Amino acid sequence: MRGAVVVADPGSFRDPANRVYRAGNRILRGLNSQAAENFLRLQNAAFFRRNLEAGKIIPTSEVSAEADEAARVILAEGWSAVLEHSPLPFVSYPYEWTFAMLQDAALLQLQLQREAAADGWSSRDATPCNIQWRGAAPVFIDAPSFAPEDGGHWHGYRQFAAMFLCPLLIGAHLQIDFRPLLRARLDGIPADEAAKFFRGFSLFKRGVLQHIVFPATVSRAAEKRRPPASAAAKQSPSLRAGLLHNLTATVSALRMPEQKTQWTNYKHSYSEEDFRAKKDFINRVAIARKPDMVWDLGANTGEFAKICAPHAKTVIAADSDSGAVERLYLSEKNKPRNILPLVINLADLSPGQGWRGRERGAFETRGKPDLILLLALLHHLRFGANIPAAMLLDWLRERKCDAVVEFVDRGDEMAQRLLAGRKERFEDYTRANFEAEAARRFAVREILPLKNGMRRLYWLAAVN
Amino acid sequence: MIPPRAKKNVTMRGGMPFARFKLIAAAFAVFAAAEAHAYIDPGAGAAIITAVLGAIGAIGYTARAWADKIKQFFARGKTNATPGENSGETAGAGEAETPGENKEP
Repeated sequence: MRGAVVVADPGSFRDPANRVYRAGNRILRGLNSQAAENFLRLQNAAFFRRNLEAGKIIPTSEVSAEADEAARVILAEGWSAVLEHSPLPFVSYPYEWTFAMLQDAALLQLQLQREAAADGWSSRDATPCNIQWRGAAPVFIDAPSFAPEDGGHWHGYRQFAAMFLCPLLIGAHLQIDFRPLLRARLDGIPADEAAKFFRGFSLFKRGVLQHIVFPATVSRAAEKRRPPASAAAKQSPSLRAGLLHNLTATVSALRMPEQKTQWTNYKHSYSEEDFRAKKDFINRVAIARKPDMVWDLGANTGEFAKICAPHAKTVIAADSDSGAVERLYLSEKNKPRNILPLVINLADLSPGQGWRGRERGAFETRGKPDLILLLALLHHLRFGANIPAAMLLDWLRERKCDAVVEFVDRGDEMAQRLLAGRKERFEDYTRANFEAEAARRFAVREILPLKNGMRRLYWLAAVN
Repeated sequence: MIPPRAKKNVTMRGGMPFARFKLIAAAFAVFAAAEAHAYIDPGAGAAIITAVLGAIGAIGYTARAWADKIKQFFARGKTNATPGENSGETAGAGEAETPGENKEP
């Protein structure tokens, strides 16, 4: 591989022991000497091999620099060894996950920590960013996170609580959406901040006194004494195991009451015949395009994402309605499929955040779709978020791929429902305008009228 | 999504020995210097917090393990007391737990 362009991942710098690099589609990681030594031993650890085989840890192996130019570039940066990971279809962040996704990711982190402890290892951190998704299955991606147990307490506890446990407790006990909180606080919700959410009887709900009130009180008291002696304290294996048992029992018991949102039980307004025609249309486009990646935006419970799944490598099924996405996740989680459900609002896509705005990538920068479905979403964006069709079509064109867009006429009963109570009439929202704007940006491949012409599907093909 | 609790296992998963309640006393005598390898800030008072929560978890686990043992003891006693009846109750509720007992003479 000559002339390899190796780029350091802008989100990988916090752990000084290693750094992730990208070389084309390859994901590589430079290790310092201590981490390299650890990895040699880790490869033989039973828990690591077992979870690697079970697909719970992403395939990871050392790269020999002799025949690999990308590895040589990384070694020249001062690292002692280079690992290669299997690439992920799409990187997502916990502020795009549903409650059950964050819970399952937390349980995977705890399971690995428990099994690691039994073999004399421990994870040095506990962030959901070390867990990603293949389809709807969580996978741990940061092998060098494991280091030999040093006899101290679990250093990752506070991070685990801030990034996993406090958001889950706030969601389960108070029904507060944790996603905006995690999006605003990249390091999670610390116990002292989480404590402010709980009042009265809610303080006595499972896990709140133990994992929020108590740590917040102790931290406040300990901060008054300098320096804190806590970072280097020995702890018995029984206590470490007890903590993991405590956390596992607490996380497992949490439930988000079933969210009965407008869309979880949404029954489409089509006749059976029209609905079948719509499905056939999507199926035909998917077969024709054979896309690597499909973005179904406004996916609801994933009906059309499921139609695309057999013809694509990856389908991102995104919707702003967390109840609908949760339903899709729960139906997909035990299936070996390629649909990743995410809570995403197209009118407010996840931005680039953190250091230099690049530590967490903006949604659009994390993948290149080959097909975008935008079914019955345009009228919501126009009437609900005041986004003109032309602006939406501009955004679509920037993705440089085909799209299937459904135009809902303002006379349609669903559009009428959205317009009721609005003084603004959105006079520009007409089929003629939409078609003219679409034709300026795309080649209109095919049009399918549905519901007696009240709705139309447009296959918009990318033009150079 | 939720792993079922191991009912009969009296050691922690992963084979870590549980020294019953004596560990509770140990919880408060754990502070000695050790090499730390964490790059993240564990937070002020982390050792105390994790020790106390660990002790609570250990007590909970041990108590449940004992409760399961006691339940098993009585379930076994019930089966032994009525060997000839081969009650459907035992067969229904504890089939997996006592597979061989009804075959005893």
